[in-house]
This record gives sequence, C-alpha cells and structure tokens, in this order.
Amino acid sequence: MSNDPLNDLREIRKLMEGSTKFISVSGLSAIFAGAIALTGAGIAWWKLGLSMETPLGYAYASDPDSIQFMLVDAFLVLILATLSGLVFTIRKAKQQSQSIWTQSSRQLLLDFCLPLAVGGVFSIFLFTQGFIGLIAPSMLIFYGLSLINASHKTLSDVRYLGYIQVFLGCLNLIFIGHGFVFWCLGFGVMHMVYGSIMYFKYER
Amino acid sequence: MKDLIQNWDKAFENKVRLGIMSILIVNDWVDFNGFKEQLDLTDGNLASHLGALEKATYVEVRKSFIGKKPNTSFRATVLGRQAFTNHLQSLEKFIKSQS
Repeated sequence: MSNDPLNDLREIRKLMEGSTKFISVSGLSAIFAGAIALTGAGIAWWKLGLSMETPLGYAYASDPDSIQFMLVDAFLVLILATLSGLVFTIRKAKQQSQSIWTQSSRQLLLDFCLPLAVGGVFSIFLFTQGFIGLIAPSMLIFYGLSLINASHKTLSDVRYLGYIQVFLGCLNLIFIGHGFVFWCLGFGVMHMVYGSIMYFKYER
Repeated sequence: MKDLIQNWDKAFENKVRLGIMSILIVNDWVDFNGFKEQLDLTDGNLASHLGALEKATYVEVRKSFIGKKPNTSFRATVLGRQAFTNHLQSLEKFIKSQS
C-alpha cells in the first residue's frame, strides 16, 4: 500500500465521510415531495373553494366535512411524499452500491425524526386546541429544525433547506392566517427548487 | 526519502488496518458489522486485522450482548489516534516531496 499515498488519503477520506454520513439522498425525492405537496394543496384549494383572501382554517375549522377532507388529503400527501423519498433513496444507494441500512443511516433517521415527531405532536395539539393559524408555521419551523439537525449526518446542503423552512415559518407568524401560502412555498416550491439544485449539483 | 519511510507506521502498512482506523477516528464505538458494511471484507480477514490493531493497543475492545447475541465493539485509543495522525502527516510529507 505504501506505493500510492495519494490514493491512501483518498480512501481514508472516503471512509471517514462514509462512516459518519449517509450521502445517498437524492434530489429527485425532494422534487417529487414538493410536487406531491403542491398537488395535495391544489386539491384542497379546488375542493374547498379557497381564495387568497380567505385565511385558511378560520373559515373551515368548524365544518367537520372540510376538516375530514383536509386530514385525509394531508395524510395522503405525507404517505406519498415519504414513499417517493424511500424509492429514490434506495435507487441512489443502489447506484452508489451503498447499503441503505447502516449505522449512519439509522442515526440520520433518528436525528431527523425526533424533532419532527415533537413538531407533529405539537401541531396536533394546536389543531385540537383550535390554534389553527399556528399550524402551518409550527410545521415549517419544526420541519426546518429537523433538517438542520439531520444535516450533520448527510450532505450538508440539507442545512440550507432547513434554514429556509424555519425562516418561512417565522415569517408566517407575522402573517398569521396565510399559512396556506407559506405552506405551499415551503413544502412545495422550496422542495422542488432545492431538489433541482441538488440533482444538477450531484447527480448529473 | 529513507527517513520518511521510517516514519511510516508498520501497523498501517495494510490497507484494511488503515481503513479500520479511518472509521474509528470519526466515530465512537463501532461494532463488527459496522466495519463489514463499510469495508466489504470477510469475517476472518476483518477479525485478524482488528486483532493486530488490538495487539498494538491502537484499539480497545468492548464485548457485550444484544439479546443473546454477542456483540463486539471497537474504539480508537489515544495511542491509536496519535499513531494515525503521525501516519497521515508522513503521507502528506511524502506527497509534498513528490511534487
């Protein structure tokens, strides 16, 4: 091995990174998650006949049918987005001939899910307690914090998406009642923009 | 040239051992399967190299049980970290001397 020190250093670097970070995250999953989020939002928009001027939630929080429809819609978005994330991650891991269930991927999942689960519980209680206007900001903020927390275990670019989500969530606090717009911006548009950047940066 | 080679650590002459140390430098405890996932080696091969590093007191070993399965984890010792840093420095020097 002593014949090629440069290659040794490269190898060392790769192992150091590979053993602490799970880098098989694909930009495509973010693009698809964003598209799914926007589709879900679009369906809600069309079905409930929303308009920009109607602050979401205040008008519909009392109508059980609308609430049920929104919950089913949101749940479907969550499932489909998670599925697309899984599919593209597995695909990329296969391309890079990496295993998907490693010490670092488990750590990544835990780092990501813990703040997100707290945020989920928090948002559910905001909903049941009637603080509808705070749901979108809290989803954005907790999701952003989860991304920032997880970024130590994967491509560090993920951190910037986290910053943007937290920023949008905080901005939404100033414009309470326009959560729908901020939610679409954060979970829809920003995912697609970020996913495209990642795709062209790392996968082209 | 000659004293550069002399500074190279015999324990890291093997690529597998260098790989094991690279992983241990940036992690705390790593178990046997953790190395297997990263290095893609057979059990026997990996065990013999880990044994060699243990003998050099570059790694310490912790044996525990996960359920009923024995689980062996490894961690770099202070000496091991020092040796690895020295080795990297001599690699660096060598590359500089070539350019």
